[in-house]
Amino acid sequence: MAVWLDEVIQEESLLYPGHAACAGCGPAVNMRHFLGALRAATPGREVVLVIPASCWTIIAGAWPVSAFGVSVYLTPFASAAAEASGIKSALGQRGLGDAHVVVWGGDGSTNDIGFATVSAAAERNEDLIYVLNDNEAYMNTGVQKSGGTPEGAWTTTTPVAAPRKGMKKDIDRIMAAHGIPYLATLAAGSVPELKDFRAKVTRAAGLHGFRFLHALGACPPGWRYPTGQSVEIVRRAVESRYFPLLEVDAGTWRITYRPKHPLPVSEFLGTQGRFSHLSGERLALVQQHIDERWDLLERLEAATASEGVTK
Amino acid sequence: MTPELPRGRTVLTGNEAAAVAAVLARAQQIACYPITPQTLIVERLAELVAGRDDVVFANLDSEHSMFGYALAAERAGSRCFTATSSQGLLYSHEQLHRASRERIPLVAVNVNRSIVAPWSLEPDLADSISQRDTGWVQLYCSSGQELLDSVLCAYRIAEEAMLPVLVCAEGFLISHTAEVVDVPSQEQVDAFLPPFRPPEDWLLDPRRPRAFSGLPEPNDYATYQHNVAEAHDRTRELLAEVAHDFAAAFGREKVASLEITGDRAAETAIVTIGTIGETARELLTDDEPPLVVRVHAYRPFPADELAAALEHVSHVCVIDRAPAFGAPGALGEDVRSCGIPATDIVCGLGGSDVTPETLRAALARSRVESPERAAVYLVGGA
Ligand SMILES: Cc1ncc(C[n+]2csc(CCOP(=O)(O)OP(=O)(O)O)c2C)c(N)n1
Ligand SMILES: [Mg+2]
Repeated sequence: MAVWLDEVIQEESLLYPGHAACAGCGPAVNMRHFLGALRAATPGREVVLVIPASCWTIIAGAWPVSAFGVSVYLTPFASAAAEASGIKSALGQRGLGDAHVVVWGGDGSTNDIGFATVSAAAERNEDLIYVLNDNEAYMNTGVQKSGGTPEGAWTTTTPVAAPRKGMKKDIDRIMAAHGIPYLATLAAGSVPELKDFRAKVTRAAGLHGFRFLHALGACPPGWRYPTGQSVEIVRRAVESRYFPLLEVDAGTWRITYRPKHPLPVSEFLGTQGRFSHLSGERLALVQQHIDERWDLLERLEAATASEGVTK
Repeated sequence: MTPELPRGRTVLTGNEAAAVAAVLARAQQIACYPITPQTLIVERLAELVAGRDDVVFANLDSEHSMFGYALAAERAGSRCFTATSSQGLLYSHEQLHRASRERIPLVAVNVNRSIVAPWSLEPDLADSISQRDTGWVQLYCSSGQELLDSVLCAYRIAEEAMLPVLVCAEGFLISHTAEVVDVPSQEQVDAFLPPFRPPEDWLLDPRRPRAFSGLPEPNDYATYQHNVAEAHDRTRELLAEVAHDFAAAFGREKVASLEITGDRAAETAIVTIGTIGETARELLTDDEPPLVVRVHAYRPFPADELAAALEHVSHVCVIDRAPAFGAPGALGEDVRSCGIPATDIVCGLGGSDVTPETLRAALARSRVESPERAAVYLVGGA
């Protein structure tokens, strides 16, 4: 294990030092591991990142300087999946179609304003990797509620006096319902989660068609916690089943990591200021919803395994 | 089986002429989203390129995505074509701005249709005129032939200037009207229009990682915009050059920026745009015929050429086919910005007929209105 981690840490990062992410940015950790695992899985293949308006418009660096060791095309907020489709197709016409074209879209872009476009690219089964970079709010504009904001969370547009009602959009089931070749959730927590993360990127890299990777990224300013705790918080998100690690491979659902002794969700929520107003019945309701979704995933796993659903 | 392209003098609707032009221009990607009255362009294109492995026909989920797809595909090296109308063009507004600032030489046809509310499928120019500040070269046609010819020229202009070009033609009046159109051969078009070879330092090449459209310092941002303005200024001459080459290659005249008919010594001039320019020529046989100036290239605006054309005219009546709210109509404003006092008449909205009689009424009205007034509306069949 230690050897594996050493190797991962020593690999060249395609997200360079000097990028403009905040201290403790979880998505920056995700980006590093995503690009690292993609390059390791397919060393000969170039990568084009297509990034809609988000924190990453800024993190990418002050133009013409770039914080990336790969091409980056920054697009309007709603059209990244369509633009990636255009790039993939055009590169094919130039004999460069082997390049991975990757969308790196936020939860706002993916669940809300760009959703029709993401859905359409999935329906066309475009040969793209779509990474949902989920920090659970519109962070670049200063923490506003999106379709990916979790139940009960404070944001600047769901203040404590009127917090987010209902659960975040179940984008995993929605995207899986498109019958895409591969979908997985990713979390760069401690070593077991990170291994799972990189194995899924490796799997996605070897497939064709629309691959959807849903990566949870902790956000110190938006989730309200000290910058040193991002990895621990993501680990707790997984251990509490708040963020289940799963994959849907050719229609077969699989929970890829089962916490042996699941933490109560309060052990995750309690680490962050955005949930500090939750207690009593409201907290119990969040726990209930987390448990119900886990049960649903168990049933999906059982059902698709026994039926051998393939697409 | 891929249908054959028509060839030589053929009866075609404007939409068919546009579709044929896109194929002749060897567009490698066709990005599609339907809207009346543009639909027949993309339907015809779907048939014309079906089964061809050198052309991708992409059905997108909205015009916003359609323009996004085409802009990104151009950036990655493919010559693209797309078309829309009305709400579809408005829905793409943010993409249109970006196209010029990214210097993407996309060619699109806009089949002009009025804007909701209320709903109407009929033509006026409000859709594309309201996009005038997006930095696209805008060409307005008055016939199916001019539409076909302008699409071919548009690729030359776009790719030499590295600016997007919008070729506009009024819905139904051009798009659905069948007329004799002279269709050039593929060999003729190939000789006129070289393959798409964008500058290396502009092209997205995955082997040379770079960031595109990243957030610059304010001064760099300003320089970016200034470069677009300068490209527009250079395009005025390019329009003339391409029209000249076109005439040499195809043996038929091509309007560069302005079409001027009648006597330059006339006392009165009508300045207009689109099919109204064709109608206005019917006034050339009147007792006191006006000089008729039809604006083909609306952006970049041919200010000097227009001022020269109107040098001896003492009364100028501008006909705008787009509503103007709280200010003169767009064309009227442009004419006045050349230092020419002009009365601006708005008519033909939502497909209301503009006949020679309408234009005579407009002229009469323009003589009694002060040229300082904002727009004068001729409505209710006046
Ligand atoms: C059409 C449009 N509407 C709004 C915005 C403003 N905007 C830019 S980034 C952003 C937030 C993006 O949120 P998300 O997709 O979750 O990415 P994050 O910033 O959290 O990384 C918003 C609202 C925009 N750029 N374009
Ligand atoms: Mg977000």
